[in-house]
Amino acid sequence: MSDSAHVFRIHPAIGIARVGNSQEYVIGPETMAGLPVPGAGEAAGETAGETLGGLPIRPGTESEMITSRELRDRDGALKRQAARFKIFQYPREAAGRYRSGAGTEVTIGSVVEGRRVADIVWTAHLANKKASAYIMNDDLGLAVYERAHAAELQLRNLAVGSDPDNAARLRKLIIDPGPRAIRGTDTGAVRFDKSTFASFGDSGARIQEIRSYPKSFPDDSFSRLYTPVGNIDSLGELRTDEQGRLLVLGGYGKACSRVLPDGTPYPLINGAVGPGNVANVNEEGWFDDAGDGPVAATLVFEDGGVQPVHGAWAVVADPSFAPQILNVVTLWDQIYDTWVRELDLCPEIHGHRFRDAYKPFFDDDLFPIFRAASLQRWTTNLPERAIQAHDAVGRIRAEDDPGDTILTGLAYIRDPNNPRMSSIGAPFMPLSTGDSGRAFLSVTLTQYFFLSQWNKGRFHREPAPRPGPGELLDQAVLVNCVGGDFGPGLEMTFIVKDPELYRQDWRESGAGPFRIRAAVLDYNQAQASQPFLTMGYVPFHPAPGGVEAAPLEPGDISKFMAVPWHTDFNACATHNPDPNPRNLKTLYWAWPAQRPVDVHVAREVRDGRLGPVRYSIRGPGTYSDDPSQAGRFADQIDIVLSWHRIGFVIQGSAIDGGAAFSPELFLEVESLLDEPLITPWPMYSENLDS
Amino acid sequence: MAIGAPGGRPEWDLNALWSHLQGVTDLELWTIPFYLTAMYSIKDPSQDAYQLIQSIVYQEMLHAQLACNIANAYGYSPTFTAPVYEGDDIPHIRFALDVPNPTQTFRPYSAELGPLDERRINAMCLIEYPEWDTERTPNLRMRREEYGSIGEFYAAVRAGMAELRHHVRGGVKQADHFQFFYQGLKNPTITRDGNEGYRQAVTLIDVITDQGEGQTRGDADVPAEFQNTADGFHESWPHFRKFLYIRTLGALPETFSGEAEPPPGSPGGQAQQRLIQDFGRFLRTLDALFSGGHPEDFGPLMAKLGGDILTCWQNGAIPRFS
Repeated sequence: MSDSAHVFRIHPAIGIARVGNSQEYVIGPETMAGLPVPGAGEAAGETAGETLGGLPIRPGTESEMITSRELRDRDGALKRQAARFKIFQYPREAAGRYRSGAGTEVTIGSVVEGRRVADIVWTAHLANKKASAYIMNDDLGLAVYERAHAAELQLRNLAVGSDPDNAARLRKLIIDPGPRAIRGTDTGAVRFDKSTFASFGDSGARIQEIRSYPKSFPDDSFSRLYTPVGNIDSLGELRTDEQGRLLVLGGYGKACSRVLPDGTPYPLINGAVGPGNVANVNEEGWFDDAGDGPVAATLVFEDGGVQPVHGAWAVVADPSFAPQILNVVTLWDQIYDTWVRELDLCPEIHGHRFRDAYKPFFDDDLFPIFRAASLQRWTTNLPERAIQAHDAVGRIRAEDDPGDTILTGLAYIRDPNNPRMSSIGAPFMPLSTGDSGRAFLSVTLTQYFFLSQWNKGRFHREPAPRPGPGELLDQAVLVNCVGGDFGPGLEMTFIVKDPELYRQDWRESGAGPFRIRAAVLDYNQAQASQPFLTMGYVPFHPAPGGVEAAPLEPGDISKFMAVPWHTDFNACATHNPDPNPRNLKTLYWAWPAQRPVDVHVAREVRDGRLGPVRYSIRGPGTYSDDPSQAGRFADQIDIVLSWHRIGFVIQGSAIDGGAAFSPELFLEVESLLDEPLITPWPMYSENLDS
Repeated sequence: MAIGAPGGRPEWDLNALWSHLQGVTDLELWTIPFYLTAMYSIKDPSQDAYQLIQSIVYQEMLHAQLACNIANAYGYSPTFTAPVYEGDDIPHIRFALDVPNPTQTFRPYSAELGPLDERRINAMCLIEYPEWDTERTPNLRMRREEYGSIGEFYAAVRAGMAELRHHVRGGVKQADHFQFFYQGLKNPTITRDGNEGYRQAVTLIDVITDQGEGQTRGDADVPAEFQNTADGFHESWPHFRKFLYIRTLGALPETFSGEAEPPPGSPGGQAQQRLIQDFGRFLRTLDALFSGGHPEDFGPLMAKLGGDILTCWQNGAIPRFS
């Protein structure tokens, strides 16, 4: 990118923002859910009263984690969660290594090779292509994009057109506000909305307005829309902080529908409506305001020079209502697994196969799996005996002989090397539903390799060398996301297993691993009459004239997710196994670490004793005698209206209020789904006429 | 029929019944390590054989609980001691007493711990061999400690329970750890006194025998209300049918091999020692669990045993429990 002795990268490589219905925001967590916070003086596994990672960060601070009262604004609205992007410089000689331990943050005022940074020009481009994309096939997942399944690849919203590349169709169905640029020294917000012009930072770090950019929002193409929570007129905004870092904020969790000829909205349907087509993942006629897209930056020096920076990607996703509950399989685990096995990230771990001589590090490679298992009890209704067993898993420490632990032999870990195991439920773990076409979730092949080495006693008990701060940020952000069930999931889905999703020249280019293979977007070519964005990346489908899939445009990650996200979020509390050839009626959890199913309510804790287990989604509209329908809204429109009322499960030490809760407890707070409590007499009338 | 009828002079006293209830508890306990050892020898847990044996083991745990609930209702808390696995001795069962002797069909067999092989699957079939001779009335005057089949053993217990029904006391040290896995089984505990409690106890015997131990009709399905509803496999099949299915597979699944006496200090020897220690702790937990206690480590210990057994196999040792 330049002759500099350093390379410059934005971290995290993939940043996660989350929707909220408040104008206010918090910053997305940069520590790992359920795990000790680096520098807090806590060894892996010892909670020691410390608040564990995963909580969002208080705006205006470097890393102060919020407490319960900061989850909502004063009106009770759910704060959005910003993805914070930072720039790091690496010595060129370290740029081709992963876990180099290198990396120094560059902010406004930093001196880089003798030049002071005066400003940073950021450009981001969020879009939402969900309505124009292919149906998420629940039977095949990623495989539906293989040539062999061409006949099963069906578009969403066929009524708007059956040619995926048709410009009119793309214009109608893609929400594209265009790019927006912002300076690190700016103090206001730049919005991805209808009323402001698109803009981008050019190679000279000048911000160019694109007045002719073909912005498109649903009401531009559809004169009549059903907008139960307001029109979608924004996908979010950009802000910068005092150091010039970028904050990407997403939408407000809105969803809207085209209307049928009779003027009614498209019905929100539950369940299968065709082979592989689950309606609540692919709701016909609906839009939401999630999105994703590239993030670019250019350093501007006081001497007028500029320095380009390797870009990143922002994803705007559903809220995470249990931010400190660690998934057993995280999005990081999936992406790391792909990079280890397919992209030569760590040759010492995997060459053509896993290397038997490799010793994983307990703290980094094993303890998170054990801790995650022990935390699942806080968002599920595990029976007491299982809680005891999960607690025993969580107590495993580096100094323990694996043979002395409950996981000796890996007797209860579902082996991902054996595809048939994905059909076997209890006692094999994780006890969660699996990706599309798989009944149960398995740890990744890399996780299983690490566990196998541990079981043989081949592991490092001492801490691993620390990654660089940017490298750690890449990991931490993704650790806080779901790594399965990818049917489709909550932030990113099965496409993370496609090596073509990523930029593979990371060593030579210095871009670093985990970067999305972004399309080069020439905004000077934007024409008001033509949609700027195309069908874009389709796994295993070579781009025109190419041999690999098209590089990614804005919207090419979130388009694989549910539309609207709300309905799948509502439905995916628990499921029967799928496939389910034996017609088992037993229900299993989908994403309990993010979409809590069963919770203990903080205000029902008495003298340190937990109250009853309650559904996270409860109250009017959720009652059912059938457990497969309980704990969710029966009418999907209710989740569109009330998703922001769901409570959060957080650690006792982060809960404000009069009661002091043990840090060992993870309790629900800030739910607005409860019916009002009836307090003891005396009660009072509102006026004297009552 | 005088035996078992209310009002008749009982042939058994409480000590005889207690002895038999201790016996069925011993027998239920004996099957668990034996079956688990064979199950964990199977390298691929997705194999039907593995899943079938696992489903049986789960029910053996239920049976141990139900037998203890019955015993406690009659005033006796069974104790748990390490089973012995030697030769072809299965506690309280002497196949030669059965007519015809099933060992003519299911041979060779072994009561020693080992991998799932011909001798072990034959032993499993023998243990669960149905009491085909229906409606035979047990003769309680014969103070027997051995029976021709597990079915005959339970038939004797059932008759003794009937004789002594007025001794039943409800709500005594009753355990209910598996209720959510048997949605159709309304009450796995004895809550009433006397005759009503006795009828509850008989239902528990029905659960045990209909699920697999001693059905008088070996070809009958497990009644729907006694079927496992959460973690079973071929839930309608009684144990004998499950084992018979495994026996008639074209080939038994690939298993680990191991030696019974690995060198002390070797990985296999160490694994055996861990298993012996943990099984001892597990027995003490069972003692507490089924005598009215609430040991907190029951879940982890039960899970650890499975890992210990698999670890023995992984390290070339045949699991040992004592």
